[in-house]
Amino acid sequence: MKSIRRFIYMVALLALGVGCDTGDNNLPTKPVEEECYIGTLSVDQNDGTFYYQSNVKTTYEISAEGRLSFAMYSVKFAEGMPIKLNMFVDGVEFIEEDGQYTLSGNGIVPYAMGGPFEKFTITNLTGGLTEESFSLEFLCGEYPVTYSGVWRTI
Amino acid sequence: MKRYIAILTLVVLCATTAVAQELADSLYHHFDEVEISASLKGTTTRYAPVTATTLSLRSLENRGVGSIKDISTLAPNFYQPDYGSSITSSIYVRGFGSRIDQPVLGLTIDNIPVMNKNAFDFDFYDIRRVELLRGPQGTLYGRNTSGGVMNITTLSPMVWQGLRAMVERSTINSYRASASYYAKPTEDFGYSLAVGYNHDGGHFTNHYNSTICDDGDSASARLRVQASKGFWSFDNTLSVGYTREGGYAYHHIQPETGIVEEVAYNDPSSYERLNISEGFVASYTTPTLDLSTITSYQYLDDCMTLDQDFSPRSMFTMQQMQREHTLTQEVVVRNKERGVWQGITGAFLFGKWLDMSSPVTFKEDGINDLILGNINNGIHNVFPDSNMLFSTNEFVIESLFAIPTYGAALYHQSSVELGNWSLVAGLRLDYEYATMEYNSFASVPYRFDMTMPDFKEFRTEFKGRERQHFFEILPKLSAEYTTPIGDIYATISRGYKTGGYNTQIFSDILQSKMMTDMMADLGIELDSAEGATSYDTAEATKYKPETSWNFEIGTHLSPAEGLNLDGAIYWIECFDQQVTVLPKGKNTGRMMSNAARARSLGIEFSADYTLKGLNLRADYGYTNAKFREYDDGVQNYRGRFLPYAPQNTVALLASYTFTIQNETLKQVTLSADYRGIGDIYWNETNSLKQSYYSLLGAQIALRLNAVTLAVWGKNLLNTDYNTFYFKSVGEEFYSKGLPLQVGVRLSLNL
Repeated sequence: MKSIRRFIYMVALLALGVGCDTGDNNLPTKPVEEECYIGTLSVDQNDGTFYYQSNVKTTYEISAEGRLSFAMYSVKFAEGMPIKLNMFVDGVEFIEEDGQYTLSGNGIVPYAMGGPFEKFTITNLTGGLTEESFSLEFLCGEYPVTYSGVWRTI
Repeated sequence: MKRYIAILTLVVLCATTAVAQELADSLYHHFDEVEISASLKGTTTRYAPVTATTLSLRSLENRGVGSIKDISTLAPNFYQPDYGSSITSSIYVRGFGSRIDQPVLGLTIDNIPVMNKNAFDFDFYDIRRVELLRGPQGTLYGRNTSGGVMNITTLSPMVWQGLRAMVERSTINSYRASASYYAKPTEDFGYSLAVGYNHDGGHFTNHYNSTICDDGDSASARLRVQASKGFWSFDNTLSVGYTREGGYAYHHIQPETGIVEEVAYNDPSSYERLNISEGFVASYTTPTLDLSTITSYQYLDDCMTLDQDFSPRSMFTMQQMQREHTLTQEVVVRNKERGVWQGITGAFLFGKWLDMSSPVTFKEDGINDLILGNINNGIHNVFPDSNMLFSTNEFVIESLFAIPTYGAALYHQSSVELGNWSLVAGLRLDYEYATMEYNSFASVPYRFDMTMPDFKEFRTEFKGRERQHFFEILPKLSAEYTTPIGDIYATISRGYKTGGYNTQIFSDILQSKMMTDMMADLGIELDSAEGATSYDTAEATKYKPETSWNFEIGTHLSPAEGLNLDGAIYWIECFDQQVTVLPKGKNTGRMMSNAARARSLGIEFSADYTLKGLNLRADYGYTNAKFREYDDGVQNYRGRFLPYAPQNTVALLASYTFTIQNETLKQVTLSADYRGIGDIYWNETNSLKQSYYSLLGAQIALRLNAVTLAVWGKNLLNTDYNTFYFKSVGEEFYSKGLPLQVGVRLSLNL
């Protein structure tokens, strides 16, 4: 079941022109249409307030080389941010145990807006991934971000 | 030079013979005194239940009519302004009209319907008669005649034979010349060849490069062959016209002060057109029946080149290249028996095949203002130091169209004479099928400098096909009561302007799509993009017919010898009115939308008095045309006047011909004419208008047997007035009317 789902992700991401080579700026532009995780994104604004965005879609992929990447679609990181962007995070470390993935990562430059987004380098990434749920915690630049989503077939 | 003087002298000598005088007399006498209508759909006498203005050959020449535009105001509530180019043959009748696309007025030349309004603006010469019927003429003439129809008849070699020539010189550095020969070698065969050339020296300077911008040249030729045999008669006319002109002398209006600036634009603007018309009419005429078949082929190939921002900045330019082939076929049957009943029945078919290319070139300022500016405004809110960049200073949005249109119609009109009463009833069924295949695309290398080290080629396109069917029923009912001094009539009729496609909105659609797609390519969505318009593309690219009902009461009176009085009051209800819509923000296109309902009330009055050499004529039209419904989403315009159509048109003419008993000088004709137009509102809010203005003209013509020498002047008071107002890329512009012009014309009738 899981391998089939992974295969679907890979095909879908490839179809969307996703490349894992850091020099490639053909980033995902659309969420997987039918299957993805949907959840809530929370961003600590570092001023005692939080920005929440619901219905944030995410997908992940494990490459043949054993690297995990995930994409977050149409996300904002602050209320006043006038654009939503797709963010692609590649090179996440993971440990699999009984179908559960434990994620970690540091110093990962996400891809957004056509290329590497160094200003929002990801640090202290932790998270968990199962067939049913996807959770993440990381610092995006200086902003603490959490995400909690569940598997949905749209 | 000496050779020219010798030739001219010879011509004058020949022309001053008694024979020449006789011929010239016959020309004008024939067409002034005899009521001639070559229309196959019935003679329009004064006593018909329709409001009509008829201009004879002499009247056209005395009033210096050189094109349809010059007939403005000569017929009440008829207005064809000069919008700065021959392509914009915008016509307004009784308050209705349109700046672009379908006209409210139909045009026929020698019974051939002119199917593309781009060919409406042509040089007049040897026009024997112009007949303008106002009010919907859809029952007999079909599409695009909701305001009326203009029937133009040219000189026929079967009715007049001889040589005509004309040369004219006028300010500023303008001249015209025409020559024609009409021959009838046998009783049943005649032919004619007429050629004309016109050079307009222009009146407005483009202050960007200090050159005249509205000069131009045009040339045309008309070959007509007519023959008859037994009950049959044949009439074949081949016309070719070519024009190449500048134009678009649009004055920018300073937004803060309202000051009207000089014309100044940096990119070349021009219009070039070749049109060919081949028309063949075969008639079978018996004492009781007329059967006519009218076949035409029309070809139009034109190219408009525009600095569409009309400013010294390098914003964007546009070209519109059209190539259209049209075939028409009509069959008309009329019974001619004088009796209680008379009828006319017809069928009409047409096919138009239009191929169009409309490349819009965005230049450096346009890219920065209209595209990158909008994108970067959004980006800068998050990343103030980062920008979207294009690697090129200009790129092209190309739009290709194939628009075939087919139509078929059946009609019948009966009239019944019952004593002093005449009743007319008619009905036409019009069907039209129009499709549009479009392919609009652009490609530009871009990069977001924060994340993308290299430029990436980005292509966006918008292609597809739309189709529309229109079916219209066009009835007409009228009743006329005739008395010894004239008649009074009432008419109800329905007309329509056909639907079509908004080719001028595609650059906007693609510009909007480019921004959206580019954002998607980058994986971002802008919450809002200032200046960007989102389109429901299926709806934006097409519009449907505009229909109108016309209710009219009128009279034609001849209370005294030489005195003719015509009057009419009318009420028009217009549905699905086609209005020109400019997308909000700094956009480049425009489109037609069936967004309004409107009504028009008005009166028309004409008086003509002739006594010996004196001719006095007055034409007055008043229109009160308002929106009943029109809400563009920002404002409701209910109760506001319709823009662009004049509320009043006035034309006064006084002329007197002195007949002189002299061997050489035969006649001296003095004429003065006055034209008044206005108010004309420029926008739906009615916040801007051209107030009523007056134009004075005069002419003195000396007739030396067959030669006539005329000195004329137009706009003698050099009235400063505007003929057009529009918005482009958020900026406002005026087009000004022509200033004082004077000229001298030498014409010959041999």
